This record gives sequence, C-alpha cells and structure tokens, in this order.
Amino acid sequence: MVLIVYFIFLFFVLVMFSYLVRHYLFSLTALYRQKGQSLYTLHGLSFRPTVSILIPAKDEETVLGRLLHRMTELTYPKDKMDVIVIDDASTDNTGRIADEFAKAYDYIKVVHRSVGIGGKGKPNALNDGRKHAKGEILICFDSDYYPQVDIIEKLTAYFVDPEVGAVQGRVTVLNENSTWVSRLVAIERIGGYRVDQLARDNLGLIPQCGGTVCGVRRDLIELLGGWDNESITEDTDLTFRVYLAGCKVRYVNEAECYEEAVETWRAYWRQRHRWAKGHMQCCFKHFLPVLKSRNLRLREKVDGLLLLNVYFVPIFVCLSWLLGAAIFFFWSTNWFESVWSLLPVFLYSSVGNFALFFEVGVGVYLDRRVRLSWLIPLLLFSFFFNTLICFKAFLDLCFSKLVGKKVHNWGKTVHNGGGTKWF
Amino acid sequence: MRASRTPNQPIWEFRYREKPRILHLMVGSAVSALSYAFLWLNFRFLISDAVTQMLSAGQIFVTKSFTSEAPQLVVRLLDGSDLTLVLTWQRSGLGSIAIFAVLFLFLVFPLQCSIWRKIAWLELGFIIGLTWSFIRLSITVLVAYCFGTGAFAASEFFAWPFTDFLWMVSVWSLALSAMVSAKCKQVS
Repeated sequence: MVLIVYFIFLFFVLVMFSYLVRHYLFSLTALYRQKGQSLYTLHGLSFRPTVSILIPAKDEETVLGRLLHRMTELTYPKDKMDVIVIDDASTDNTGRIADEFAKAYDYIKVVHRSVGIGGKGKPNALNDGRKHAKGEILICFDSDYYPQVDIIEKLTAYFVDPEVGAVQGRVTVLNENSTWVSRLVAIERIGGYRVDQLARDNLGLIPQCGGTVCGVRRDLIELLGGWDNESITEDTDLTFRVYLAGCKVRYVNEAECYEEAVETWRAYWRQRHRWAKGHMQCCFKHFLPVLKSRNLRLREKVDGLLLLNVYFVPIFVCLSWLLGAAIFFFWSTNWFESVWSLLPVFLYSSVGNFALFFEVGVGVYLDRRVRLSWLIPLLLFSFFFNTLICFKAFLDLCFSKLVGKKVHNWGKTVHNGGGTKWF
Repeated sequence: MRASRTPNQPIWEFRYREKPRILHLMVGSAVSALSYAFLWLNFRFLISDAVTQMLSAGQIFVTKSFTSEAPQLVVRLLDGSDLTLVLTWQRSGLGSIAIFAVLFLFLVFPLQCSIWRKIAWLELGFIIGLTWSFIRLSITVLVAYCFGTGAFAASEFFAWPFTDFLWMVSVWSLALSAMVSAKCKQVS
C-alpha cells in the first residue's frame, strides 16, 4: 500500500517535472534563441491572398462598432478582403450596428441568425459565416478585439508556405489597468504568447490556435468539415485537427491584437471554466489520434500530449499535495523530505494561465514591463482559482459523459466596452 | 540588443532577444557556490543558536546538542513532554536557499545587466531566505510548545516548503524588475 502511494506520488512529481523542463526550455528559447521570425514584409509585398474576416457577435453592441471601424482602417487591399459579421441571434443593437457598416462599406456583409437557429455557440456561427466567405484565407476576430492596421499582411505572409494550415497572432490586454484581475490576465497573456507560443513556434513544436486573431486556409477547413460544432474550445480542437491533417500552425508574434480582458473573478471563473472544460474535451478526443498519428514528429507528439493535458496539471498538483500530506504525516522518510521540498517548484509549473512563474517573468522582462513583474507572486491566487476551476470542469465533463448529456454549453464572456477608454 | 524601437511603437512591440552572458553565469556560479558553502558550514549552528536564545528569552526551556548529522534542539513543551528537533538541511532552510540559488543563477545571471547588481540581489535573496528560515522555525517550535507535537507536524507541513517559495518568487520578481529598470534606462 505504502509503495503504491509512493509510486503514484512520484508519477505526479514526474509529470510536473516534465512541465517544469518544458517551460524552462521555452523561457530560454524566448530569451536567447537567435533565430528570429522573418519579417512579414518580405513575403507580404508579393503574396496577397484573398481574405475573409469572420466576426461572430452575440450581444456585442458595446464593442462591435469599434472593431468594424478598425476593419475600415486596415491597410490590406480592400478588393482582396471581405468582412463577414455573424449576428448570432443578438437581442441588442448588434445587428443594427453591423447593418449600418454594411450599408456604408461594400466589403462588409452581415449574416443574421434568428433566435431559433443562432445562439448555439461560436463554432456554429463560424460555420455559418464560412458559407458566405469568398477568401482563400479565413481570419477570425472576436468582437472585443482591436487589431493593428497591418495585421492581415502579417498573418497572411506565413501562408506562402504551403505546409502552413493556420496562423495565430499575439493577444495583448487592452484594459490591464482596470482591475487586479485584468492585470493578472495581462501578465498571464504575456507569458503565454510572448514566451510560450513564440518558443513553440521557434522550436518547431505545436503553437496553439486561439479562437481569435487566427487565420486558417479555407480549403483546409472545408476538408476538415468546418469547425466542430460540438467543441467548446473550437480553437484547440482546430489546432490538433490541422496537425493531424498533416499541416502546421505558425505563431506570428508581431501580429498584435488588443483584447478586453475579464475584469472580475466571476467573469474569470466563467471564461476559464469554459476553456478548461473544452480543453479537457479536446484531450479525450485527440489524445490517442495524436499518439498514433504518422503526420506528427516525435517532439510534436510529446508537446501535443503535454498541451492536451495542461488543464489536468492543477488536478495533479492537488492530488500530489494530498498524497504528499499522507506520506508526510504517516510514512515520512529522509529522502521523501528532499522530494517534498521540491514540490512547490513543481506546483509553480501550473501557476497562472498554466505558465511557470519564471516564464511569465521572462515575458515581462522581454516586454520591458517593470511594474507588472511585481505582480508575479500574486499569480498564486489565480493558480488556486484555476485549480478549483479545473476540478469543477473535470467533474462536469465526467458527469456529462456519465449521464449522456450533451457536453456543449456555451457560456459567453460579457464585454462592457471598457477597453475603449485606453485608446 | 539586436532590435531597436521607434518612438511611436508601444513597448510591447519591441522585438527583443539577447545574448546570454556566460561569463556572468560563471562568476555567479562561483559566488553562489562560495556563499552556499559558507552557509552549509555555519548556518545550522547559527540558526540553532538564534532559535535557542529567542525561545529561552520567552521562558521556553530549550537545550541544544549536536548529533553526527546536524545540531538538534530539545524543547520542553507545555504538556511536559520533550520535542526533539534535528536541524536537517531541508528543515533549516538550506534546501530552499539552494533552489533559490539555482533559479536565480540560470534565470537572472545570463541577462544583460551589471554583474554587481546581480550579485547584490543574489546575496540579498540569501539574507531574506535565512531570515525567513529563522522566523519559520521559531514559529513552528512555538506552535509545538503551545499545541503539542501533532500541531508541530501540521505547522511544518503548511509553513515549509510552501511558504518558502513565496519569498523566492518575490525576491526573483523584484530582482527581475530591477534588471528591467536598469535596461530601460540604458535604452532611453
């Protein structure tokens, strides 16, 4: 019995240790790897595919106008792009705002989805928008985002490589000074994009598609049968489907887009709960296919499996703490004390948005954000919060599977347009 | 620095990578090895003396002795029983300080900044670590004195090594912000 407990404990420690090594490598890569990303302009001058921008919007009257106005300012040739707003059964003025822009600009179109058809989640809306899109590349933006004017050039440049199936731009928090929660989200984002995504791209691993600032080849998404309507996190799902289809995802650090981050712990809980549940759903769906795939190299498989399991890490941490406590109080030995003293290091493997504290620190250092680095110890709070979220998401998912309930339950993040004041 | 920043660019657009300062890393390794060796030889005796004196000043009966492994404290508890406390390297805080030194060495010393600044932060981290270890040990012994040996195990479980990591991350974050400040001044 004691041996089994020791064995399980050591297994968890090993899992956490592998995440520690992974993120340490990412941090070093982001800091020191000299091979930078090529500048988009080199390709962008000659490679200009047609682009369709999809904007799913449900009750987004506070932010949609800002984004559509930005769409009119984009430097990409307007004859090579169209903007499709999918009004997903909105009950506010979202549809009217989109219609006004569509009247004024011929490259902006609106797809209205009625209450009976719409409101069934983002993948549903995207698939509906896809039917009206004409571009070779589909690029998604959430309504609360605010892209750079040359973002389309930056994102599409990478599609010059026929192996590239999708690209992902960088997300930066717009309203980081609003509340403590938005500040913590901001440093999580910096660690996640500036270090984690960039390092994965540089190392030839698996950069992840986000649900927004993400471009995908139209013929690839058609081949894949569109976005999975059953998936809660269609972005993670798309990432793995792209890789399993033999293509790859590129992360473009210089293609920045500004988002309105959640400002309260309640909103943080709802958003992360959805992410955790969707990510776990993807893990169940793609774990074996990734393991068996012939389209993935060994390092991509290893990184893919670690990525798929990332939302289970807080659960592993808690279980290892419980097991550690049992061993500490009942069967402690000298060697165990040594392992035990290392456990907090592993625990920090999952602090924040599943980035190590030093990964976040390196991102903050690279971005020269002095004051944000003082907040790094506070990531402990979001870690505890994330632990609860992941436990609940896991239990919810298991319950849904057990009773045969449909897993999909779309929880929309409410945006108040507060980010506008930071312009 | 390989890239430059135009005045109108937001700071987060600044494309930046740097060359690791291997010489700084080597000097830092030597300094931290020397500091750690000094602590390894003296710290457990120092902390056992300090804790004994502090508890004695608070009218708690403590005797200090030495085993072949480490110094040990025998504390007479309120219920009349004795608690024997061997100051192993983990319990004394040397383990946490070693983790801090490794993290600091590999994550801060290769960065582009003055080596004196880095050494100062490393030594400051050691001092904070030592101070925290003294406080933590005193608190756990005090808890044991008041509430018995069971409470001692529980308080040790919660206070060590979990809280140890809080000072590590805090010192590391502050050191990093100091490096960023220095670098920003250089750039501007």
